[in-house]
Amino acid sequence: MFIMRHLIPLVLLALLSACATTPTPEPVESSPEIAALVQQADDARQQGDHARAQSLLERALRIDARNPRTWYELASLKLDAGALDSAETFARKSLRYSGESSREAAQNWLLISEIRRRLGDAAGAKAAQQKAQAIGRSLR
Amino acid sequence: MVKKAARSKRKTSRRKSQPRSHKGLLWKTGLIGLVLLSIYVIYLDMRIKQSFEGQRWALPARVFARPLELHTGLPLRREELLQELKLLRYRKDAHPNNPGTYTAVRDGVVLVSRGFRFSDGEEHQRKLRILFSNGEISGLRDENGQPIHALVRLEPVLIANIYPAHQEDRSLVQLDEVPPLLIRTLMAVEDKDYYHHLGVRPTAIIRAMLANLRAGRAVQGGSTLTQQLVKNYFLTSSRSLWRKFNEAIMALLLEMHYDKDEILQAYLNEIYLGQSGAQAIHGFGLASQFYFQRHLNELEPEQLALLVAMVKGPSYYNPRRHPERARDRRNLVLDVMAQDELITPQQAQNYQSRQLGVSQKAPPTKSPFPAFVDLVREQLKRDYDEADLRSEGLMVFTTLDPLIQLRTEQGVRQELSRIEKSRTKDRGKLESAAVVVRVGNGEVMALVGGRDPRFPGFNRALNARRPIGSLIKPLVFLEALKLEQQYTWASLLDDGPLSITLDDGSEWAPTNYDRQSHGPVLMEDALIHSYNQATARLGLEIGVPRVTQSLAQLGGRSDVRAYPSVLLGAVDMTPLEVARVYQSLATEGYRMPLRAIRSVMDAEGRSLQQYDLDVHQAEDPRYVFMVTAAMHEVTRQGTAKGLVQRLPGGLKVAGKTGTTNDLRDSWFAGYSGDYLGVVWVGRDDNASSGLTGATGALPVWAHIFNGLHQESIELDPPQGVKWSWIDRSNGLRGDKSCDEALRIPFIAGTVPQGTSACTQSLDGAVKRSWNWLKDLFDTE
Repeated sequence: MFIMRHLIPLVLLALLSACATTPTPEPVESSPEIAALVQQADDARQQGDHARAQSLLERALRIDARNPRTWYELASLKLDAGALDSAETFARKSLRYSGESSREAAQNWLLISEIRRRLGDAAGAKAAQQKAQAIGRSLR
Repeated sequence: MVKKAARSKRKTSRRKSQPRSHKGLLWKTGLIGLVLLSIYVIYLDMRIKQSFEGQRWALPARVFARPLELHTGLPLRREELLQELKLLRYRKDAHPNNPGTYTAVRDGVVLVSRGFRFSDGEEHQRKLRILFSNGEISGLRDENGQPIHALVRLEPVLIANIYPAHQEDRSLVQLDEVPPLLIRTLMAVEDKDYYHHLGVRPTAIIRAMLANLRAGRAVQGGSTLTQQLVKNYFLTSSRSLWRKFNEAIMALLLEMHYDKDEILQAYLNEIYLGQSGAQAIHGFGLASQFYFQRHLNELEPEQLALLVAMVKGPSYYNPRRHPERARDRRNLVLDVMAQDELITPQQAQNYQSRQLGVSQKAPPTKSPFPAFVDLVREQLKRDYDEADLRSEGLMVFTTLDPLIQLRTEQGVRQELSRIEKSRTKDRGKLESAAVVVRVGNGEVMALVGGRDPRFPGFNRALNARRPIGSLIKPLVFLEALKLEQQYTWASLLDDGPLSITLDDGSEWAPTNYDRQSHGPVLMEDALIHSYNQATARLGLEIGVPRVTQSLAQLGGRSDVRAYPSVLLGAVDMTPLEVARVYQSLATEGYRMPLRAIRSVMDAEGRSLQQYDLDVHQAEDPRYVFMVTAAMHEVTRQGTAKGLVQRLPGGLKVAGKTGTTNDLRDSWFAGYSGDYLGVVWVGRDDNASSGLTGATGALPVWAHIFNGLHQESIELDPPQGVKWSWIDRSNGLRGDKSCDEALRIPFIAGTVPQGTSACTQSLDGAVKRSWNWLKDLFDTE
């Protein structure tokens, strides 16, 4: 359910950037080690093994505590667990390192939008979604 | 079996009671005897099953340091890897092929790891070549020279055991991990027919009985491995026949219930092989560590022979105390091995000529890092019973980084000695405590509780509450900055003399450390130079309760009464409590619990508990960023400017000194982008240490941080904050060319309106063009 809600805007965003005419900013580079850990964490999460996913992401964080991808994934994991406050905090940590207008920033705002929607904060959710869309437009 | 035993008993009874008229009585007695014996055997059966099966062994909890994770690009020097290998007791070997061996080569290190089962996956044993250049790992290669792109975890260093109450220690081995040569040697020497007998060997018993009869007392054994195991379960030293009888019965019972391999595995883990102080050494796994400081599967044949030799009498053949006896018996075992063709006679001769190979000293049973282990135990106690900790064989994975720990210990030891060298009296009186935390996730990397880090005494890092002095000041300014319409770092504060009458009628008149007043000062300068008068006046303006609330909110004490003296640090806190507060500053207001434990596994390798990273936003990142920026200036031009020449060039850090009345306590708390450190120096008797924060704690902190791999603090402002040049003499907008220019972060929209005259001067114009030119060539 969440994945669907969350994915659709992401796909839209991807499409938006795909038909861009100007070059988009490079996505934040992760080292191969971090990319591998994040991938394994994602697999673990798909299989419902949140403890393993958490442990793998924390390993990634030890290698680089300023990687927005890792913080974003931790935020998603918290959202899965229903820890909404923590999820937003993690997403904000990710935003601190993603730069103000990057694909990661847009993803984080979408995540925050989803968190706020679940918290019953419709206006906040909408504002966050608009931020994401604005970033999406600027990336075009 | 039961029946046989009963019949023999009956025969005995018959012989004793001759008259036929008592035949009925005889039968009855016999029957009662049979019943009693059956009950007794059932009782023995229960006992032996309980011992074997129930809680098989009380296993101490094992406490591990963090595993070193190797990957290309990891900042690590070759010497540091070698230090880690030393802690892991790797052996030098020119051609490393066995687990736990390594060799240092020109461009790096070649090693064979031992492998380890972690809670999130198994790390296999493997051969690795680790290449270094420019202070980092430049490449990892597998045994075929192919690059490895994944992470490789070395096994973690064991830092402590939490022992069972009855002081037994074991390191469990599985049958398939035990070298086959050990098992075959053991059988050749102790029990040739192990796989064929039923638990006892009647012929051996008879032989032993005859020998005992001749001697008039029990002198000979003839026990099978099964009997020895039973004997070990119920350790008594008596050699009575009754005990032998019980042992034999229980051995038969064991063999009825369990198969040979199960019993053998139990034997290998149970047999008593020595004593280390109060701890009894049980099993070959631990004995191997205890005598050779190696894993069982890393032992040479003559070392295996020595272990088997000791089965007969671990204290009589103790190789550390009686090397001659031990050698003779080992060589006898090697002869038996040759006779049974486990080795060739030439090999036997060769092995017999070798040294015993026993390490001089037994490995320490006490932790080398007792202060950190205190913290671990404190955190464990919240979730586990003391009894479980001592007996369930839990594996506790901690956050300790032994390399940083050793560096921290060195910093404390060397700097305190250096400070005391120039003193004529009271040498050795200074004490210290230090905490190092990883900023990114709140993990405690190192903890030192006193000057002698090996001594498990008073743990000052956890238990010594001392006034924190000026360490409180960043919180006073943080609270002022939050009133963004009233205060910015460019506000001018009055640093004139201050005196107020308190509620109880007493006067409070704090003075500056240099006993001078500095007139109107820039708010940032009040922090940079740690002016007491300006800070106290500001704190009274905004209200003391804001500061005490801030302290609690950032993770400090929540029970502090809002007296004015709090503004200058009349708050007692431990170094660890200070670290909690400063961690929140180091993370731009994100509060995270300081963790000493990552996870706990049970003896079977199942994950019991994981201590996940948790983060709460305790403060608005913008204000905390501004405080960090000012604390960076403290380390560049303020009370901590001594750091400039003590740290690697270009490393940007933030920190604050703290000094208390009569120079009793010397504090420094500071952070880089990756680590936070809090250091206290003072005396246990609370007499004057003669040190300020800058002369006592700061050099210790610098010593520690000089050896860490780290990046600078983040000075790129978060959204909503911007840098601006200010003329610090008047707090107006200036530019880089002004004589007293200071770059200050502001909340957007709060930069002062007025422009300082310094921007108009001719001198300024010249400087501006010079700066412009300089910027062109300056890549920084």
